[in-house]
Amino acid sequence: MRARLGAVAAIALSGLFLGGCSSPQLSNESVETESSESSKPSVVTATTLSILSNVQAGTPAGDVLDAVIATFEVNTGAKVELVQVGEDIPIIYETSVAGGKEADIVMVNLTSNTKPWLGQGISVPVTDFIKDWNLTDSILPAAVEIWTDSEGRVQGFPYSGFVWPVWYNMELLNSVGVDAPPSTMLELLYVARELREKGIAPFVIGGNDWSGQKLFLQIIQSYMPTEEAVDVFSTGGYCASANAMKGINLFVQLRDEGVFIDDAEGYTAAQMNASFFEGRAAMMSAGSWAMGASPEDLRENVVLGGLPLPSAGSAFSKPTAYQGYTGGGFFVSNNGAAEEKMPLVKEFVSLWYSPEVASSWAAATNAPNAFLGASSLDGGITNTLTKQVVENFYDRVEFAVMPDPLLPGGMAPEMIRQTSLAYAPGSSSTAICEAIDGLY
Amino acid sequence: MTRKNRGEKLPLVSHIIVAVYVLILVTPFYFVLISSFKSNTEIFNFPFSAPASFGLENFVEAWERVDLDKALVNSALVTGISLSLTLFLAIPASYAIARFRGKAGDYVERFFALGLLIPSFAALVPTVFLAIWMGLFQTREFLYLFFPATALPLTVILLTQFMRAIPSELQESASIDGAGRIRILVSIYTPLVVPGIATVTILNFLSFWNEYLFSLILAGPSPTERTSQVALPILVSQTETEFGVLLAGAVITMIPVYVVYIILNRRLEDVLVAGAVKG
Amino acid sequence: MIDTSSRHSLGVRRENTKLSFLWLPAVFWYTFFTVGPLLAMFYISLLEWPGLIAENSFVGLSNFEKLASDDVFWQAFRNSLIQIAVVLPILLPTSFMLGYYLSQKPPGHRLLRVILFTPALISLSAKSTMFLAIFAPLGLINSSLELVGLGALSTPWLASSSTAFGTVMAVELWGGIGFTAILFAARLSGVTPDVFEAAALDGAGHWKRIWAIAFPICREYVGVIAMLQFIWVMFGSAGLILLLTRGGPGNYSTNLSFLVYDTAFSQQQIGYSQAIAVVLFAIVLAGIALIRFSFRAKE
Repeated sequence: MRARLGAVAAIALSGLFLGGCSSPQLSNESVETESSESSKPSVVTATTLSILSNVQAGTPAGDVLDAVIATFEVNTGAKVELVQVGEDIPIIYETSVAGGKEADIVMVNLTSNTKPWLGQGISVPVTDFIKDWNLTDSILPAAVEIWTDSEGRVQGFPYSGFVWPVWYNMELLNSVGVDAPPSTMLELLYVARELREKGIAPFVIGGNDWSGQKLFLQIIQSYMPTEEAVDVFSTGGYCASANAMKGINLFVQLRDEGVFIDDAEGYTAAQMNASFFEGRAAMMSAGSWAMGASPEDLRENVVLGGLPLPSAGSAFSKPTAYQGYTGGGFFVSNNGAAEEKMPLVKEFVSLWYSPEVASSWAAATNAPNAFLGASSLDGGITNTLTKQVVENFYDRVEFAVMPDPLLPGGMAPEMIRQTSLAYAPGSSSTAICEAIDGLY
Repeated sequence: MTRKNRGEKLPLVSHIIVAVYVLILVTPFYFVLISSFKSNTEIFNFPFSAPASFGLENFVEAWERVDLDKALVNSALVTGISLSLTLFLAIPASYAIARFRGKAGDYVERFFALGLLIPSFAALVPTVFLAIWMGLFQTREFLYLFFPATALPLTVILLTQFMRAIPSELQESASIDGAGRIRILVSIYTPLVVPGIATVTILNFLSFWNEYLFSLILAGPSPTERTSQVALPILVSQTETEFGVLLAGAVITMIPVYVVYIILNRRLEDVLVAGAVKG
Repeated sequence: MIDTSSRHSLGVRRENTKLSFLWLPAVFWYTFFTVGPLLAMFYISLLEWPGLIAENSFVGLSNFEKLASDDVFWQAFRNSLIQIAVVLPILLPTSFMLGYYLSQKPPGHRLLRVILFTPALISLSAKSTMFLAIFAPLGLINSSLELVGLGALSTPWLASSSTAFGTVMAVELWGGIGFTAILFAARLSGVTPDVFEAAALDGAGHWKRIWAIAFPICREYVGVIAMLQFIWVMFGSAGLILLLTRGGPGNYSTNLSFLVYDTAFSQQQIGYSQAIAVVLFAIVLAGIALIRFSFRAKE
């Protein structure tokens, strides 16, 4: 009995203690912000800043974050509570909001799960902050554009970008007498045949997950002008769009003629990477995040390019690739927007967009990012693939429409299940388009 | 009196079948073990060959990257306290149900059975609100209280089965001797249902230790509160997971459960042997 | 609970009353934490609720109407039934026999118990990484088939519409048999050896001893385990499916349990998800009644 009373008492006490956790604390270390002109009483700045982040500890990117936090703590005397999680940020954040205990800043991608936050009122628009904090010249306008919603409000401060090229293993291609990446679909079919004859898998793709879905949507865009692609991705109508159907037929043709690796529908993105890195396949479609993990001796043989074009009726003039800036950004929560927290948030974000951090981030992630001027800092980049991107990749490709921001919220997992089915032999174009239309 | 052999030996065929099953069981586990020494490329391209090196880098990385030491302590606390509370509540309850003569006993038993019917994640949302209302949201302490409640249905039902198997003469002869109910429960019944207690302890230990979703949401992701199962998936990202490190972390978190199981198994054996000798 | 039933003698009633104090704490604890959510499940199924923070609105039974005409729901329903029809009849007899084997203390049985326990011990995420590699296009199964010349049978097990769900069930059986055997062995060890010796003297072989003697004695316990497995299979497969196939390809490996999770967390339709949960609840309730009826101890 005594033990239980003790337990209950402990629990009650801890409840009280935790209840007081998120309110600002007055202490000797607090920084007073003074407004010299107005007669408003000055607000006492909080002494902790809480950050929820999907940047992994122990990785180069994680080290950059740690360094920024250290500088921040020295500059402001405030402490940072950093919570790093993997893929579960949406549900953690939303339940935290329900409990009133959400983090001040959230570092996460812009996806169909995080986009709704602004509309639901659980994150604040940062449009004015960018102006007021003089960050306009530090962030790529194209990135800000992506993070702006349909009402002109910017959802977060973007910092991470990516490109998503097609990777060509030239050593393998050379071995079948091909010395440049195929630029038309006919060439692709030819190359695939030659490779198969030699026992090399032509194009490996993670048919089972998001990587296969992205490639599928890229292929079907081959005949679609941008506005049509935006329209179809947002509202559906694949069967009804003649250009989309031509694209789906193209996909089916590629599949049935053996361009994709056998059992592509069973591959995940991680398996695809491993397969390509091991030299088992000659081509793959993967984003710049894979560049850091690629084996060094492989990099010299890889040419980054785009998806070949159909010989007639193509909506593009150069092979296509994806790019985006949804890879990572700072959301500011209602807690973070409170008066006593704002100076801390401002300090942290401003630190992040300084040139030193921009260059160390570029070197750490080995990928394009949203920092303006970072590309001039490629002295710090050692990855030859990233150098390729920075130096001449953009000239070789045209960018297709990135579907993720356009797909309705929550649709991605269902669509992925359908595209996985599409990679399996046997499904017809009509079956595929109907299945996808059925999701909208 | 020593134990005699039980009739004829088991047929050879049965040994062979069991051996095959054991092989099927062990192979995936072997995969987990060797992969914890490998890099991604090695895992995916050569999944079943021995690792190129037996260095412990993956284990160290898993340990350091997610503060596995704090997480293991949290897991131990949550599991240990919840287990104790569960047994403390369930043993008397199952004794009472088994010994009760009348309809009410059946109703109580069925009431607990109802608890098995709640699809756990359906209860997530309401439980979050409960935790907030109690002021214990995102704390380990809420789990100490919540987990026993979820384990009670199974524990009570199973223990009642074991309690029922004890002949009632024992109760009667003990009360004739003047022993009070609690005394009987503690000194007679409880020792006799040790196999049952061992069984539910293991089941509950497993379910508490390996539980993910509720631990993630209710105890939260903060390094000071999170359990080991919540800590590990931090290593997972859509694009950059190092499976070797992830599996190394998983191996580390499996060890305590194995240890507990082996100890409990031993205790189980001891009791059974003692029982037979007493005969 | 004061027993006032006149059918019982005063002594029994007094006994009963004292006993009921012993179960009160457990009942209270359990009610406080679990019955509330259960009731909430019913209430939420009547709402349209797109996400935890979003607004919700009362829509009566329209979630259930939607369910009735949803192809995905019916596919999931079918899959759940298939799961029960396949997994339980294979799992229970096999594990009972294995439990008997264990209780006979064959050489190495201590080690065997530890090994049989391993699948239950491995957390879901480790398990799924394991099986993703085993069933991968170039994974263990397919490579072994190639090795013995059966390469034609190799297929992407988790991604092919004809094998995806079957593979999930195979994984459930893989771990379930050993684990359930241990549960049975615990009970079987409590059966006095004399019963078996008498049977052996009568000339009964092991098979007869298992089914004609051990089983009737443990009948009620088997019923409880059957009920538990039924519940675990119906409710518990969501995690495995999430990590192995995510319900795909298409919706071929979606079952009711996974659908409840998917609609709540991936599709952001909490009200609809709870409606499916209510249906699942009803099915399981019916199933349990059936199982208890079949396994009732014959007095």
